[in-house]
Amino acid sequence: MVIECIDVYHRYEIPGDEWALAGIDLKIEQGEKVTIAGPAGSGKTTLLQLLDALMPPTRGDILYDGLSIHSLARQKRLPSVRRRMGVLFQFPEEQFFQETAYDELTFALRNFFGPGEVEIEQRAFAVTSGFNLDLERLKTTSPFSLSSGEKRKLALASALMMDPEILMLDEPTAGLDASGRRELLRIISSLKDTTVIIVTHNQEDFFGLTERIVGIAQGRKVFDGNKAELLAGIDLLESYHIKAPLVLQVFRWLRSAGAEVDGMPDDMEALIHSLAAALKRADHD
Amino acid sequence: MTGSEDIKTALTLTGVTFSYPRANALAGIDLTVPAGSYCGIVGPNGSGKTTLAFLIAGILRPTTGTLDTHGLRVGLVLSNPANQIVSLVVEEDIAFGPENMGLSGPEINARIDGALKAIHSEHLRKALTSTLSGGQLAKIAYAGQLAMDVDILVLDEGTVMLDPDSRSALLAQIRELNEGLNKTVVHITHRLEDLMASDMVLVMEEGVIRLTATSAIDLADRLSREESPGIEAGPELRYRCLLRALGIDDGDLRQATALLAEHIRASRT
Repeated sequence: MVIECIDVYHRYEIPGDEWALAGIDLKIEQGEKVTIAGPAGSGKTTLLQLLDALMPPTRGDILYDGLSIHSLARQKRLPSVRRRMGVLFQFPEEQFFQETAYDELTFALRNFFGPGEVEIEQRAFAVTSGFNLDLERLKTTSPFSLSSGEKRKLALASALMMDPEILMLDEPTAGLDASGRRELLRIISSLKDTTVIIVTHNQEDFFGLTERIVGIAQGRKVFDGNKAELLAGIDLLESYHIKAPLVLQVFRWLRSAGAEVDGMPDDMEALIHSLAAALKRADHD
Repeated sequence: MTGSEDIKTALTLTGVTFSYPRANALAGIDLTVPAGSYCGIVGPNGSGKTTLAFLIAGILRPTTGTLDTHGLRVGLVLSNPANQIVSLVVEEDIAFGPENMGLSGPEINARIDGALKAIHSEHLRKALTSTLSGGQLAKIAYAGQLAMDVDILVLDEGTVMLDPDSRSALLAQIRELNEGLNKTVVHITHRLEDLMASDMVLVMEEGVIRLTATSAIDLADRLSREESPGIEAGPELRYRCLLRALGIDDGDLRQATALLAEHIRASRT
């Protein structure tokens, strides 16, 4: 599904409040991987709620495969687009409420689509096969007794049970330790055909994962580009308190000092690897 | 304690274990934290860090072993500071502790002033707590502890949901409380990068202290050689380790990178 925001403005109904979003134009094609970055209070979570069709924008339009959110709302057909999208808000495990982790995993599918138990289990097996989660154990375990990494994975798996075309994640790695984070990023990067939209104030984790970066500040879109454009836009983003990943910053400093390494690295580990190789060559020469 | 050569101790833990009804959380902790030091504790989720924080703060008692705070007052700030804000207005929130200590009105007022000054937030005295950002709430939670005149501040995470600007501001604030007001800080985190200012760093794993180091970069250096699944040095410390190995110790990363570039250019000519 293609989502397109056309001149979107949004204001919460609090007297005296400013526009939370102002004049957002944004088109996201099926299968794109996008990071939406912005400081606290920039409006990025509001944008996520609008994209997820939780509420229509105050002004402007959002099109889902060309269908206007306002006409969908009038026809009470918003659930039909919402059903094609999965969202993980911040700390999704705080919303767990089922007795077993398996019930948590299958709750939405069972209640929205109501297929038989055999089909649900097949789907659960297919979704969790790459997750290092033991389905049999989930059936006898409370979701609250899982480790924090497992909880986050369970929340992600629950969203994927509905086979969404678009997956939206609000700070998906916050609060996870190193192994939990690596595992989650591995799973997200395996979602090839799904549109993935990640909202974050910390681009570092997602630099290797997404090709397109959208910067939001004070409710406005201040940047929209790929990594090469981000490289050129570091200072612009900084002026809006959006911090580029350190790896990109160092890459730029090296380049401006005439010591470019080959190709743009995906993360600091990759950059350090190339630097170590370059320095090693020096030792041999 | 006598003799000027004695370094005062803020915390002494000897053979401390702790068990929840169905799980062992700590399996024998020995730890001495000098007064006025900044002790960082890192470790993966579930390694026992928060249990240790609760023990130091006196919320839990050791199952076996002893824990001595040498008569010092301990304050705890939870991982989500919003959970410990109890009032609608900032000054009332900060007054909560001193009021319960039975202090007089003027004394409470003086403590609110002092605490807000220490966190550079005098302007927030009358603000509604519901309007504050995450970084501001964390600072108000610190102020609440300062108003009770604590000597030891135990901080459990606290930077998780902050954006980079608020995070560095909060870390600078912690450093100032440690260096300027001489508070002993025990800072628990799973981001080693939060602990650049600490003068001892402990790694917890499965209820024990697995490693100790004298600084975050020393620990990062060791982590680059021996893999620890739950802890990562993070991009900045990884990069600083590489620089340090080349003898580049410049604090400013941009200048340090320029020096690194010279190394590389020299190698190509």
